[in-house]
Amino acid sequence: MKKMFVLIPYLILVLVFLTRPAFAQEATKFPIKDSAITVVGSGEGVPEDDGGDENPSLPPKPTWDEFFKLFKVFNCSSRSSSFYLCPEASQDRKKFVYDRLSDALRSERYKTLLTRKGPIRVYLRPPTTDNPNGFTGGAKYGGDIVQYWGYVENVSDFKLAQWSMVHETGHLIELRNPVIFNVFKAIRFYRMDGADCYEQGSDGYYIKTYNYRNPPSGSSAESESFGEAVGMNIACGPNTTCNKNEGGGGAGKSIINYPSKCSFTYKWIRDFVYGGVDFFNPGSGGNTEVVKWAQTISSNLSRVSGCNLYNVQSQKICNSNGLCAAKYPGSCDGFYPPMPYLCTQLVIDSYNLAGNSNTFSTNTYSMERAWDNKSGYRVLKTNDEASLRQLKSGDVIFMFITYAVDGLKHVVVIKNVEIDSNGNGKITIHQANSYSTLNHYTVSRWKVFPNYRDDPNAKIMFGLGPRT
Amino acid sequence: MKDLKKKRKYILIAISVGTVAIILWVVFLIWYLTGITNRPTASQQQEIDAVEQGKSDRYFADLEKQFIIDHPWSDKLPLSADKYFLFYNPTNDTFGADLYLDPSSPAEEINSVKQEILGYLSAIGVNISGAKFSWGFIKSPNPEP
Repeated sequence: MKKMFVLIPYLILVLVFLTRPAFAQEATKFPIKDSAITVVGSGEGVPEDDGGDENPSLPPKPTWDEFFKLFKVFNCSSRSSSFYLCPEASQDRKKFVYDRLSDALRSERYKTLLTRKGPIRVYLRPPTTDNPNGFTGGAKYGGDIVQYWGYVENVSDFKLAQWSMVHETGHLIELRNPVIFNVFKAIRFYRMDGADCYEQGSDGYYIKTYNYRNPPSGSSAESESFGEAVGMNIACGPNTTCNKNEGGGGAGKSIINYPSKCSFTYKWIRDFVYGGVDFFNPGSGGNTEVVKWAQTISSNLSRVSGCNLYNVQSQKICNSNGLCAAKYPGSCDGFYPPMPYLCTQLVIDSYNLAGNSNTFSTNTYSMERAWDNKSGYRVLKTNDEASLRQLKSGDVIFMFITYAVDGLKHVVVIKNVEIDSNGNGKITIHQANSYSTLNHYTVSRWKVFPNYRDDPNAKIMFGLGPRT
Repeated sequence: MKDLKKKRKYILIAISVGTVAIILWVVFLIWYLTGITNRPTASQQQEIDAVEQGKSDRYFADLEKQFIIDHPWSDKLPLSADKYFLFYNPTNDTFGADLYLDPSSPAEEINSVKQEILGYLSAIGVNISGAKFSWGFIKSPNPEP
């Protein structure tokens, strides 16, 4: 009896532990598979090299030194020797890898997803016996290695080799960022893109350019489709035929116009893996509907009599669905109460009326945080070339003197981006609750200078809206 | 006797540990639940956001107003001309110009472009005698696609 009495406090402790409030659920852990080999193509009967030149409208490639801080390239004399027996690759082979993998690294997001957990080791090996004239790729091996058999140099088509090599990096992104891959799996893109893009295999649906319909050891239909799409978003542009081995004995089929035939897959990969970077259409687009509504609303803003700030919104401004911009009486000093039409309200209304439904906060800080988490949206946190090259009309600029919920902050909608190849030009903006409703910021050598004296603690961030 | 004392000692320690755990748990629950109840409602949060953002907007508007008062020509810059790009850098209160010339170009050619820039700035109302300049040389920009 006394022994039981002794146990009571421990039982209480166990009870306390079991009944603790649950504040957050942990993200589901994705089972990491290792040592899987994925076969990406045969390299036979491929068209001529089609280049791979610099595209000045895209963010810049990493420099040679930057690239080789992220990638270690080795050359193996045997197709199956231990990794430790493979010395560092020659400059020629390194250049080969640099030329084909560096394009994808124009995207900061891809770079982060791929290399956030450390550098990648790339092993180049002779051809495999079952594919002596072709090439094969493999990834996983603990999440930091990709291998290419056949040296891939045998592939005369630059884009084809690039597609296959980037495909393998897709597997490492999958392993290093399981949440992203789980979302990709959960969406089941084959239901949206259909038979133009996907074909059924033994364990699920494969993007049909992929050569197999049975998963390689340790892989799956979703894994191969993810890798395939990561590669195709770089290499398979509009109105081109993409195939790895049609008629060559594999199951792979051609896809003509991948961005259109696989549009849901393509857009998701573009936004969530490449951070909105569109490799085929870098300078185009922009959300003209957002700009139209921002212009309509801001040009109708007026000032309280005798005051400076444009924050009176008394007009009925509605879209064809009957959705209307908020109306506010405005205030002389811009403060609530009475309610002014805030800078954030212009963003909220312009996006809502343009059909981009949102429930953003009227606090710029909270809006920026929510923007970065909203599907299809993205925040670029550096005021530099990589960010500015991605800006389009309809995107927004967040400005923080102090980056805090109660700090000093402002947001504006981009009307137009005019930046030349030197990184000089200007960004025209619409804004509310300010001294003007239409203004512009200077861009010099890929840096935006807002129209105020820079504060050493000031931050400028860019909110990319959804890309259509 | 000794055993009994020992057992009592253990019992007392166990009861003390259990009591402390319960007290901590109750304190934790109170903290957690009052944390929930003290959170502002959605409409209160909107008001807080509006007040915060209103103050910030006013601050930025004042900066912009002061900038326009101090630099009444600011809407005339930057200027992308055939031979140069001209802008004002508020960070260091300097006019910057990227000349589309080779630095080894003849001095007359460089001075001619500089004079053109100074002429433009004078025309838009800049007091060039007290102004700071930063001259750069750069390739003419490629036409964007």
